[in-house]
Amino acid sequence: MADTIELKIVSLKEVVYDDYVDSVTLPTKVGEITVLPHHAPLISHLAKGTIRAKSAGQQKPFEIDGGFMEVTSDSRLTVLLQ
Amino acid sequence: MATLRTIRLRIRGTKNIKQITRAMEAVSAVKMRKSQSVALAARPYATAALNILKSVAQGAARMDTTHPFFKTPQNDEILLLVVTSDKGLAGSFNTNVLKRAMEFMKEIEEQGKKIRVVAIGKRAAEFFQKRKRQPEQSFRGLGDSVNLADVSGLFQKVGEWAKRYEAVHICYTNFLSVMRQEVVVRKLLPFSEEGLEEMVKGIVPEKGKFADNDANSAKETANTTNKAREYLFEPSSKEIFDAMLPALLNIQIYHAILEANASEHSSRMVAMRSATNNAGELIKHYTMSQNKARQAMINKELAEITGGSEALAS
Repeated sequence: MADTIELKIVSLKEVVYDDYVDSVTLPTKVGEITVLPHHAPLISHLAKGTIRAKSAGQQKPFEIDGGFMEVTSDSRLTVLLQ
Repeated sequence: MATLRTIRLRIRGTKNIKQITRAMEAVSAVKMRKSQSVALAARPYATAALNILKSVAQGAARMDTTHPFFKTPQNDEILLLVVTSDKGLAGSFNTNVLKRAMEFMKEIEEQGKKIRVVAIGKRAAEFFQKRKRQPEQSFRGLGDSVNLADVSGLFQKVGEWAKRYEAVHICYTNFLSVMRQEVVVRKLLPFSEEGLEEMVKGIVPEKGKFADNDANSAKETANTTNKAREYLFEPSSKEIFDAMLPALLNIQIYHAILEANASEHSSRMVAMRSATNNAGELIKHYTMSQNKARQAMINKELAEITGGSEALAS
């Protein structure tokens, strides 16, 4: 699992998504960002919008109302939905 | 010896009780399943939230932040949130929580600090009023699988408390399984790495039916990584703290209440089941003595008749 990101999206009711992906684009409060493997550790505030997870050329969209995200130094991305 | 009539009355009464407890068992079984699924569904979220909080706490320790959730006033005043149910008849559920809370309060007072309580659930409110410890605030009606919105009244107070108290603890019941619940006291504020670590560990039982292996492994990886590198905060650490810390703290409290609800309903269901069983035993016992009493009466009458006829014959 060298060059993938472990993406985990959780809401209070369920785990929405939990898998390895190539890149993730997220809507933060200050604009859209894309997280690639080996991203620096980051904590940010998400705005309403769409999270797009890309894996093997395919895109998976998730509509969100906002939340928080954390990228750790070992390429794990956790999204807490509101 | 009790007469036949009183025994019959008792049997009837016990049967009524048995019916009621059985109905209550069925009702709490349904509520238990519901509150359990809500509590279990919220666990991955709570674990993830705590892990993020831990990273933030690490970052905050380096940045020497003055956010009230990290730097509480040093005034020797402690606040304890006690989570109980509104209704009784839940076995030892409330007693256990209140006993643990009293122990904790004694500990704090022996350290020469002052402690105040916030009662969540009617039982706690009544308990502390009776003991002349007026709760700082009491909340009720959070018993049946709450929504996040129902707890907002509680959340609004949290920021205030952070500014007024040196530390905020919460005493609640952790749901381990239907038969086993554990009363715990956890430190909510100020945020510290050790306190959060403890909470993460406390969320998911180590083994058994409700031990979620995913969550357990997530705990381990979270422990081993993240030490080395500093976090970036976007847009800025201050904005992140202001938006995120209250939200994540609320999640912790919300999660504690969910666990307590699942525990309450399980505990009540188990209590009602054993009450139903006991009523059954009692009915058996009474039926036996009823039969004995009836047989004794028949024997007595027979003896009288034979005695009478013999007297006539002679």
